[in-house]
Amino acid sequence: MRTSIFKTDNVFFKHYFKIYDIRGFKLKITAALLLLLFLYSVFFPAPSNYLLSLRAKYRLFSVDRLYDYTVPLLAALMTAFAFFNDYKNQTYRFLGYYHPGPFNRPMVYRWAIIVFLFCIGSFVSAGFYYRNVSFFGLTGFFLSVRFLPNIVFLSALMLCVTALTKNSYAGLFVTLVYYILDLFSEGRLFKLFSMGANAANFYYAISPEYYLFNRLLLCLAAGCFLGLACYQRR
Amino acid sequence: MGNRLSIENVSFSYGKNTVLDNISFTCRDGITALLGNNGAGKTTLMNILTGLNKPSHGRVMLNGIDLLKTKPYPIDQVGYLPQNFDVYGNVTGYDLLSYVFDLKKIKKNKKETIDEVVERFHLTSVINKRIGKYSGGYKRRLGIAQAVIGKPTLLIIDEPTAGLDPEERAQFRKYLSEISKDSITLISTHIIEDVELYSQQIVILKDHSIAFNGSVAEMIAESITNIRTLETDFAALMDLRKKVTIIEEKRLGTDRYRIRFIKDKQDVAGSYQEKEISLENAYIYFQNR
Repeated sequence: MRTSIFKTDNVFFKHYFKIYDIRGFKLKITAALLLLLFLYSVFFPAPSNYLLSLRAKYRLFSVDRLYDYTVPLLAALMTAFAFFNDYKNQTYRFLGYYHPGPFNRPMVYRWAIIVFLFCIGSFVSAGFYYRNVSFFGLTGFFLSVRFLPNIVFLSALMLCVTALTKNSYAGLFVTLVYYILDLFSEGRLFKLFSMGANAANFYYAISPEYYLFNRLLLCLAAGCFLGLACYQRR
Repeated sequence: MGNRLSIENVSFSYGKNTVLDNISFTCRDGITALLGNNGAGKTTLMNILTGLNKPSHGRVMLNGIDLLKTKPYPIDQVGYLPQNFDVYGNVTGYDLLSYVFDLKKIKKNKKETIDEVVERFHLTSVINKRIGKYSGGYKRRLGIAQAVIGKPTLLIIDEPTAGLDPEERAQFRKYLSEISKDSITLISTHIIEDVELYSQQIVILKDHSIAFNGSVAEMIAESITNIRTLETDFAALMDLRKKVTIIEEKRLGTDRYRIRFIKDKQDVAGSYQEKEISLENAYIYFQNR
């Protein structure tokens, strides 16, 4: 049984560029977006007094908005793009039949490929963006890694709503409503479920525990969203 | 000996709404047509047979094996063509068949097997083109090709000719009659013409349960004695519409009509039983009796 599942997974990866991402088109778009992000980070780095401002409890939306909000939005939009045709002509039904079992594993893999690329891209370019604060040190590592829950969370939300409603537009609508409300309320509306924990300086302005709990909660919520999206109700 | 599919006491509900109520029937090699009006539960039954829905009660046995308890669901033994078959428009027909071949884990030469189905369903001219450029007929043919690849024991085809023009429909029916020789082919439809020529067995679903199960000849024989024909004028026709269930009206000339209706306890004067009726008449009878 286990061997059988892995064989099916091998089939998925073998045909990935012929069925799900013809000639790597989606991969190329993702790479192009991440390259633009990298170039922006190289040419417009964060100011060197960034950490001092944070400790002084300033909310640094203009500095952190790029990685707190823009990059996760791009990842969520790529997720919507990757799954758009699944729900346009009920292709999901046909594909679901060929992937029996409680979880639609190809769906998880397709989502994970996009999210993994955005996480890597975000981590590397954030390293350059905050280079005036810390470059390739432990502080630099934490400055870069703290944005990853946002990417995972927003793209999982997009996938979950799309899969549950069987409608890509519903996924886009719900995700964008959440995104806009959270962005314009500067993290005040969704509090623990806000993506703006870095930009709104939850760590110093509220407490380190609150900040860490927010990051953890986003990761847990992403896991739940992914489970709901890929669970096949049979 | 042939193959045998046995659907035993299958029920399905959405919350408090019963969609299928204790459905049982058996079918063998050849075409079994599942007829019923929209909402009768045909697609739900198809989804249960393909493992996409879990029944609240009952079991489905294919050659003695419980189909729904087999983990993972045996996609190599069951070919499925969904109602609105469509895949990504930029995938070529060949790549799709190749993917399905690998997913079904068919232990044969891949190229030979794919070439065989491509030739069989006359897809040679389009097989390397993107599916988005296929006509409705070609898309349907590709759909049936992916279902039969690997020669499954059971073929489940939902609304096979929906959206096809008359010529394509006739062609598609021929394909179905060919592929059903060595497999149980279960088709769901509400188009009577789809089943008239080639179906060995007809199952009619009505009000979530089975209203008829038998051959075309048995279906006509059972309904013909309950159907009456009458030639009448317009005024009488208007009056009859209120009294009996009319299943067919035909204009014969100015103010002259021939109607067929379901016989009630009291016979209508001048009406008679015909020697032949269409399958459509029989179907409407079972839906209205």
